[in-house]
Amino acid sequence: MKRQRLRAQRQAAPFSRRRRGGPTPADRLQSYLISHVETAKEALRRMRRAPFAMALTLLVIAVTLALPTSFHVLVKNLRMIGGDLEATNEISLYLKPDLSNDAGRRLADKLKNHAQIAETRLVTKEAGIEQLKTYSGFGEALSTLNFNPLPVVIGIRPKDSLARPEQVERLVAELKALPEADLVQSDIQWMHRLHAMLQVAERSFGVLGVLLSAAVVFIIGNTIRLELYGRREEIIVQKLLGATDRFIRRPFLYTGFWFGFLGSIGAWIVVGVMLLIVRAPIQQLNVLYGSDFSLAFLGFQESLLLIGVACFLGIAGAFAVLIQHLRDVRPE
Amino acid sequence: MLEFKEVYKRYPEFGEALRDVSFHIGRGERVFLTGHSGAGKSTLIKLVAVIERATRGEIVLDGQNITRASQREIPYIRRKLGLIFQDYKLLYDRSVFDNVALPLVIAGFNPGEVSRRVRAALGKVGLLSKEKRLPQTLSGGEQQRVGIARAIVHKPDFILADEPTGNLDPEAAREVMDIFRDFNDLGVTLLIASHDEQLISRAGGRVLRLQHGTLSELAA
Repeated sequence: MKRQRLRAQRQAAPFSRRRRGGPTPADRLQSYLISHVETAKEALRRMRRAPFAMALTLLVIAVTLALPTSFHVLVKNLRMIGGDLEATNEISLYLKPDLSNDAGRRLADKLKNHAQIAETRLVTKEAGIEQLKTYSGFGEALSTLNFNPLPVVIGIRPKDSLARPEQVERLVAELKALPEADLVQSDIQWMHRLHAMLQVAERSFGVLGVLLSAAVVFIIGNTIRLELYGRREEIIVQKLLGATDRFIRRPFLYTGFWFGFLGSIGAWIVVGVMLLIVRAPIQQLNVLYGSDFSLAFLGFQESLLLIGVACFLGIAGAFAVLIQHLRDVRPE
Repeated sequence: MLEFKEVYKRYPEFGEALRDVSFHIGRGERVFLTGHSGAGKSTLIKLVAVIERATRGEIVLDGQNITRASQREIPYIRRKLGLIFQDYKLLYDRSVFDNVALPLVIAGFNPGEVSRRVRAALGKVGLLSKEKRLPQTLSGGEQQRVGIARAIVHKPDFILADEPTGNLDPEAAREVMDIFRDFNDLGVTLLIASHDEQLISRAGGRVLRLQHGTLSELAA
């Protein structure tokens, strides 16, 4: 009774409002969302208050993230080159120089029936010199020759070249043993080596990625730790006013998020600039080799993955530090 | 509202700060806690706000035994209280408004409700015109009034003040005491720790005296 009377009394008081006590659930959800947005904005404002420190930290994060990312882009481009080569995985059989086009044609027809050969392609002496003139840039010099020094070449496309490398090697050995053969050149072994190397590179990319991700977690964690001690007083006051750990953690988690997010955007730009820098020399190589290879950058999904992983690392770094150090900051 | 049952508090470094303290404060009461510095006034306040834990005994706040409260429950216990400190404990990089709004933001009120309640609280302590100021630009008395507005903005049933006038000149101290009395008249329970006997006798109310950690009640 007494309590009710007092409550009624207080309700009538000038500073009492329609409602006493805590907010309603709908209120709570709405203000929870608003407070998240506000906290995110506030975290960003706070970072901007120390622009130099923020820029330095972001640069370090961006470079750290750019390392594995550029490595990934490198491997990806090498894979594409590898893919291009795969399409032309021919064995070139150079015949002895004294053999004529006709002899070459006969041999090519004979080889076509070989169980392990899918296709043969005859390059006559004349066709050979034409190709050389077009692609090598020695056109002028070649036209001064009064005889054709090139041998007949048979291009051979083996069956299942990539699936069964040992079979291809046996075929190469067989071709070498032919009395007409002068030189047998196969890019297929090379392809296998490239694949093996790419596998090594990918594995290293994984290890490098894990290590540098850990570095990003540490960088962001350390930044958050400094911030935490800088805002010690504020945290103590919040705790005294009944703030939960979750409430106190939130702005720091957003700071971690922003460092991850902005750092990954920075890394994206760094990798982009790196590719722009090497693009011109690659184009020159293209002209020289007559190829149409173009550098691949990060795709849309890869970019999203980079940003997502970085945001996660930022939040994880902040969280790890908060779990460790928030307990030490308390009123006394 | 608040009951201490044979409470002991022992600090490993300093020894016993409170010894066999028992008392009961009813709803709507106005109680002063007095005693020389180091007698255990602050320790007692800290036990109620669960800043410190009792070594022995039981403390019951609003029907809840807070001596056994878990770490997760502590914030919710503190939200029932209005805490006022000798050094105000304001955030100096935020405006008066934002300082007073903090308990409401923590409790998850929506912005409209926050500004209504903050303005009402600032009106109560006579600082409505200074809501945009930073705390440093205010006098000590005004800063403490901001502290009081922050302590009452979420309408707690129980206000705990630790030497609220300790840093104030006599006139500002009297103003602060008058504000406390107004709240008490509205039904808010008050526990004010102060060594200023003159101010206490002028304000009137129950007086608990601590001496070397032992509590005795003075006749009203």
